Amino acid sequence: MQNAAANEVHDVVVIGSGAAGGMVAWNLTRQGVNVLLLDAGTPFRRASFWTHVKPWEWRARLEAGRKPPQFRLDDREQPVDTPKDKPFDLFRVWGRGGKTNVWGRVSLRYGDVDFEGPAKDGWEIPWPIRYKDIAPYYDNVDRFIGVNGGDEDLDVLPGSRYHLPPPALRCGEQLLRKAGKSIGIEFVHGRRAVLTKPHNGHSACHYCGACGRGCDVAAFFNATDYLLAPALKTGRLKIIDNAVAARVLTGGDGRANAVQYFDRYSKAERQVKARIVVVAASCIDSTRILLNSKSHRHPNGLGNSNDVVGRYLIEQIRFHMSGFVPDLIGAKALNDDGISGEHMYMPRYNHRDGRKRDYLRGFGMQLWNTGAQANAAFAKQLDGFGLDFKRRVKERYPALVSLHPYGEVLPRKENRVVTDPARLDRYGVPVARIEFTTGENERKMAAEMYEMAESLLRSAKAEILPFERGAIDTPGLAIHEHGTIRMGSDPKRSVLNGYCQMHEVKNVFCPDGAAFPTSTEKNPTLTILALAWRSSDYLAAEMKAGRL
Amino acid sequence: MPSRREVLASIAATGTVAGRAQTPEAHGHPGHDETAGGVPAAARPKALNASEFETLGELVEMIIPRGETPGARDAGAHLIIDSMLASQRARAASFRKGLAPFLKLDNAKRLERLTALHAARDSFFHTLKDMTIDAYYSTREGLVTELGWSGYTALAEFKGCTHPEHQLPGAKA
Repeated sequence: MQNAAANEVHDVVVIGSGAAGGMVAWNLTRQGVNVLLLDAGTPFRRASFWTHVKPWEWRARLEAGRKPPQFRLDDREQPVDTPKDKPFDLFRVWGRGGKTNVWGRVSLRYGDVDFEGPAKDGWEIPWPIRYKDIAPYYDNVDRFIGVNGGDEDLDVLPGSRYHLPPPALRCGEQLLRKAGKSIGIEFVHGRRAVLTKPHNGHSACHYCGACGRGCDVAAFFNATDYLLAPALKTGRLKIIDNAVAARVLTGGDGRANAVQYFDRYSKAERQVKARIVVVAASCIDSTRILLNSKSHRHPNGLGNSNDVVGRYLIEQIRFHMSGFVPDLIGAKALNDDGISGEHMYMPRYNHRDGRKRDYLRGFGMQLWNTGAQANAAFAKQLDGFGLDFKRRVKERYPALVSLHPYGEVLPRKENRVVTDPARLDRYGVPVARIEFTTGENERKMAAEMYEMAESLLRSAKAEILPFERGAIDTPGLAIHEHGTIRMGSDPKRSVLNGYCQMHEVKNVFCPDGAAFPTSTEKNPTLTILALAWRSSDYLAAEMKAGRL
Repeated sequence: MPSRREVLASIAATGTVAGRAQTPEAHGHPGHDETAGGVPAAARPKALNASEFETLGELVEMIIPRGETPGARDAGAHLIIDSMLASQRARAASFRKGLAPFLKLDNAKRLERLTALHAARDSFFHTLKDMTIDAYYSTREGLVTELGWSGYTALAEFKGCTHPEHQLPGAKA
């Protein structure tokens, strides 16, 4: 197929098979467009997932020489550089569906507080779209993939008419909600792309709680089963496995006309010709591809005459605080698995309580690891040993509540991805170097996040596990990288327009998380899906109108 | 991912516990365990010698002793720790150094020394305790028999909290 494809000019070549690439492939093929998709890996087989394997079985399997599916790309295979004093823990999945195989499934709509935020506070550029532009696509996505949730409708978290029934709250969540109410912190039902009833031909969740190992029945959205499978059925999608995209090639007119890739294992160099290229390899890898796509017409990388590609990298700040709620200490442990992760969410509130802050933007909070878990790692933080220690662990086991606040990070020019011609991967292509750090705004926001978390646990009269005030996770661990190929109305300050189409090179689209000009405090996948759907609708219309 | 990120790591930490009607056969997922618990009769240490292994068995049992439920040695925590050490040579060397002073002691003296190390916030004590916790609470004895975990199991429904006293007055469930 690769030989046959060498001279064929494909309508659209899509790089990446995750939320963005999968959505574009599905939406274009169903509208009659032929798509060639380059995937850096191969399909993950659901039948081989270790979904329900219990901890002692897991160990026995490893000792017998078996291996669970390797979702996470090993950095030794494809290095990412960081300065020694600025670590960034990048999580990549090469292979069908990308990170959607194991994502957190949190599906929150962004509101105009997010889209207009920068216009109001003056920090960097606002989004070129508003909620009204993307709302119909949020509706489309909710209906298509199935998102459970409640009927709450907030400025920072617009509601949906299409939510599936939310799962019941766990005891620990009920108690936190009550404790929050008494100090003015409101929770809403979580919004998660987990099917609480059968939906569009996909199975319902069976509440095994092991989603992080990949779902054996695809009861939560993943790009392979929900997007690529129906796209393949149209007969208009071809996928090349183990195709590690390196560069978008351009012609004398500056337009993209091909994609260069390397076979992951043979390392053979290949090219596929394209009329339109969609770069959706996830934030850092998409950025790397554009920066490496240097040519006479694009000496600074593709779409980068303004030196914006690679800059304004944003992630989120995050930390964890746990405790034990007294009502559950000594209670009988229940099966708290549910849909795994939280069943309720704390939306951002700091913009509407009337109090002035000394920082910009805001934070929300998730509550995963609340209730009985498949481990008792918290016991390491309880003092002592012996029978009394063993009793205290058992009593506290059902009473665990865990808070995970996520805060927005401001985009800054100096937080960036670069490629270094002297540091090459196994294919001879420059690797990505990430230079990222947080600053004063994040430090101030984290201080309030700590105050909020501590006062919530105090209000619940919880026994709080030791924490280091102000500490935040290593950047990258939220797995919410954005900003390095941002959209905007001003071509001098942005790379893409509101349809994720490149200002400088009209036949290139970048609809993944890199396109977000702000990170917000929320999880991005639902918005990536909605933007990619909108972007590919536009792409198809422009193509049919002969404008691409 | 968590779980996420939980993360998306392959060992997601979510689980649960027992105590309500379940349907392990729902959706065609077998509910049986693949392995028996405890220490296989033929188990031999890989990283430690016989004397070190015997001593480790005594120490893990002091950290999490047998009561009404199995202790850490019953659950084979020392074997799991040995196996972890076998794959981490540098860690094994320092662990054996920490273990050495215990080898010739009787159990009463071992307990005395362990108590002193705990009081001194000794790093070997914390390594030993942390490894014992990770090992014990990942066995069927520790996780199921002791704590009552019943997760990673297919259920027909998730009832959540049904205790009226936990609910927010006036709120929808």
